[in-house]
Amino acid sequence: MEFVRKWFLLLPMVLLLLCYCNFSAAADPAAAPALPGIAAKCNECHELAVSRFEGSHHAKAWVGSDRTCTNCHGNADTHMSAGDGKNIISFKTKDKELREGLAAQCLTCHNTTAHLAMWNIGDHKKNGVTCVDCHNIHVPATQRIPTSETCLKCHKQVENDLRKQSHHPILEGKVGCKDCHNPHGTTNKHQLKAPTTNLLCYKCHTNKRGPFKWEHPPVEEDCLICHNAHGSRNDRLLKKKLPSLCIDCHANRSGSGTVFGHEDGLNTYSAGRGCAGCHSKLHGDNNAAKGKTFVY
Amino acid sequence: MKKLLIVLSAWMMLLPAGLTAKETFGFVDLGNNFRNTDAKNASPFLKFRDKNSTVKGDAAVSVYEPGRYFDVLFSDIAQDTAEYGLSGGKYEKYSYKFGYNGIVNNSTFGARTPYALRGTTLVYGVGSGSGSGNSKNTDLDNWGTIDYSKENKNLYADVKYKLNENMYFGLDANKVASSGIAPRYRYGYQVIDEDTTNVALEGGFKSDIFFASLKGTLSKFEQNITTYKAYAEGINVDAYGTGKQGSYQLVNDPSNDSLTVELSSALYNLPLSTTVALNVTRTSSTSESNMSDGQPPGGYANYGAGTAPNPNLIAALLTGSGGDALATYKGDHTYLTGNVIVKSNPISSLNTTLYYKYLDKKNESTHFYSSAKGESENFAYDKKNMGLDVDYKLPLSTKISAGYGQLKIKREDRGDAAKTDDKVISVGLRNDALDFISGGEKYTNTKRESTMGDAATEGSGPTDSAYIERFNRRFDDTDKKEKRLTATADLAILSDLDVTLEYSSVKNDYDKTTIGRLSDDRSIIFGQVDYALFSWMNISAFYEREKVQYLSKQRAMGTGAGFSYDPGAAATATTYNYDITYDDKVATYGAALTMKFMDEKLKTTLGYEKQDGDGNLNNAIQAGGSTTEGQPISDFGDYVLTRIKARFDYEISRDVSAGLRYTYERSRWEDSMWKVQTDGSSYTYDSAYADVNYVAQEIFASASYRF
Repeated sequence: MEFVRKWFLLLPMVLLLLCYCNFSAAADPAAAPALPGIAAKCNECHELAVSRFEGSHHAKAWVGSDRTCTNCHGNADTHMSAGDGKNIISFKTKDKELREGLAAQCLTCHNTTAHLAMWNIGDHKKNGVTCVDCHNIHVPATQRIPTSETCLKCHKQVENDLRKQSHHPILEGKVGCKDCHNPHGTTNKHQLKAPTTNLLCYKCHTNKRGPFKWEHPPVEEDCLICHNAHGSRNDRLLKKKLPSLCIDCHANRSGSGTVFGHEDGLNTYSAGRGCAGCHSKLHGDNNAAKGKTFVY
Repeated sequence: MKKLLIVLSAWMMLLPAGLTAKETFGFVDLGNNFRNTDAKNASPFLKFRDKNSTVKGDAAVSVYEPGRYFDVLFSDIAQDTAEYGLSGGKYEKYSYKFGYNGIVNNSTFGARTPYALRGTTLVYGVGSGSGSGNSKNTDLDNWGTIDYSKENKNLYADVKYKLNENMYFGLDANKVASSGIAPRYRYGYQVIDEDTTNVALEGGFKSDIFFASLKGTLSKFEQNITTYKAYAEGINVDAYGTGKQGSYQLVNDPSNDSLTVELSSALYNLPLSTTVALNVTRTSSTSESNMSDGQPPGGYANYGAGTAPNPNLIAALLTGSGGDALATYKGDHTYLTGNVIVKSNPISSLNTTLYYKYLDKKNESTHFYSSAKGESENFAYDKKNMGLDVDYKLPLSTKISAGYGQLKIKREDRGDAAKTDDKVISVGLRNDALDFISGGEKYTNTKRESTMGDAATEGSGPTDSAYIERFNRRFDDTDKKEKRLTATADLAILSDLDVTLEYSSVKNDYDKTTIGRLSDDRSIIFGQVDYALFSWMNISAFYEREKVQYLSKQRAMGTGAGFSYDPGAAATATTYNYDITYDDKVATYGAALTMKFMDEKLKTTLGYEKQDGDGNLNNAIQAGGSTTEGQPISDFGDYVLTRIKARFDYEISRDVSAGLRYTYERSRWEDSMWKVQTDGSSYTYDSAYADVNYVAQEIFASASYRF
């Protein structure tokens, strides 16, 4: 029944979308703007690059303007006359000194772009990352890959954390790297989008914001004392398995079975969810009568 | 939701008429999942997916006309994880996007519970069985089952507008409705019904030499179930012999409001190629709730036959520090932060970064006192972080770096560490001289000095429980020496062969800790190989080994002669120190093979991945201590996760393609914590998060049309 219900909803929407096909087919190729002079010249040798570029966001934005290949690649006169593939700004260059100038080339247009305001002080610039390491200018807009996929090409250990059993749904596409980080730079550590870890986490986990009647000190100070933000082999992104994490601070206990590995078996502290089984309000408790126990 | 779908559908019907002869691109993907029973019943396998839906549909349309664009993206249509987004704009002038997306988080399917939900009251009484005293029914076969899952429905809108080349403003708003069921207190559960509304307004100016922006964000969290009642009734009342079990109220996280004002600014192209960046924020978070939340009317007089009313729950005991009765709690946190960064290139080979970062968290929440529970603690702190980082380029594409930083934290109401002072020194080296190999390493040394507060004089003597605070130090704020090393190497041995190697290690020595974590050591080795074997074949493989080891000293407190909270006292059979060593090794490795056949019309991807975790816990009990406890636990979170994936995509024509995916996922956990159903006394475990053993198989067939 579920199968029928979902398809019943899905199919009409898909059929509606298919209506676009006719309009797409109706578009007159002849109506496409002719390549500006220099681009036509470039097209003689770089047909694939030019044709791909035509589908890109840049090309769409430049329709009607006089901007063309040389705005990014620089003056091509010497390049064309020599015909040796040199004397042109190539964004694929592996020359380290030339690479350092590539971002400046982009910034000739994007120097008033607000989200690049902190680029100069960001970690990516500091570590030699340049615009085209992440952005492919010639890729048609319809073929762009998700931002997180781009990030994980370099941040491979983060990708591995995201494969672990407890993780933020980044590989699943429900949360993106840029939800927490600004790859273009911020004044904060790890290019975070908030001045402290907690203030960042509270943006989504608003229920943890409190303020609670009873507060748990490490929770108030830094979520990362207990959690790995990207992923963990332990439940709930915890850095260390419960109850071991808790007892590192709460290091004295009383009663039989205090020590894990009691001959009668595991006890309340160390079975099931560990301490969190009973202390389920350990992020903060709004029950004044319960005191600092964080139970219930 | 239905309304939204109607609006979106209507929009899409109208669009073609308005966009005739524009450039239009898009795709429609349709598919269906076929899952085996294990796949349907394992929450980890369906962690962020709609467990009830097997149909999957995605569709997108992009429309262009000179200077403008418009995109429609629908994914996971009609599922709980659906996203319906519309975006568009005029290049270099304005942009907008709005829509809906859903996030599902499945925690456990089929967890056990003796409770049932009646309205917002949890009623204890599912199933039947025997019990005695205050113990719960341990006959798990007679318990009910429940799925723990949370769903967020997010409606969002985002508009950005450029007034001119330099000035812009933006409006960003969303509303998230959260619902679901979460585990709560042993085998009970909590119904989630929460809403969050965020509205942000930003305006700014950016030129070649100057940037400034001002942003205000208002966030409102609404808890729709402030308290709810868990009522133990009915089941085998007579068998318990204690009369009617008492009811108690559970208190949920409070509604709160948060207002953030953020000022950012930067000056560019200053002398010595200097950029100065500034960011100042002020966030105020407030909540308001009744002091009596959680206390059932009439107190706990019937909490159990023969049990005296619980004095902890008498409202009259909750009084202000001045002795006046309190009716309302007002939570009030204020965060004031300031970052200043000065970055310069005095000469082309030298980069310097000078920074100063400040955080002041004030806590002006209601401070209350209970004669039974003591005084509430309003934790607050201020942090000052300053330092200098220098990079210098040497010949042969070599870069050296060095840094010095200091982090000073003052804490209010935290007796174990009123102040800490971190001194951080780092050095790094990177070389990119050769085309086929590049790499670098960085070493960071941190020395933390911590000053104890009230805890240094806690307790009247060794038999006073507070006395242990003199010795109990917490790893997040105690004295420590930390050594951190990272090393990376990228090799391009052949033109189509890339190798990445990474190593990182963090060692902490909490050298002044008597009771608590004494040391931790974490190292990760990672390697990845990507090889384009032929023009039609790619192979990649990766391996990571993470190893952690923690050592902590604990104290077991017994009774009788020799009982002492002083860790230096001689051990008795029940009161003694013991060391816990917890080590964990996780190996993650995998390989993927991608091949293209038939003029690249057929693309196949085969993937294999395995994770192997091995946790061990060992205790070393002080001589003279218990001889029955402290046995080693060898299966402390052991697990093996195996994934095999195969994917075939066939391009039938330029516009039409078909795909087939197969996924096999096998998960096996050996964890002592899940091997018990009861602890031998009064508690029974609910199996929340424990549906981790499964062999899931899934086939997904799809067809795609692009236009």
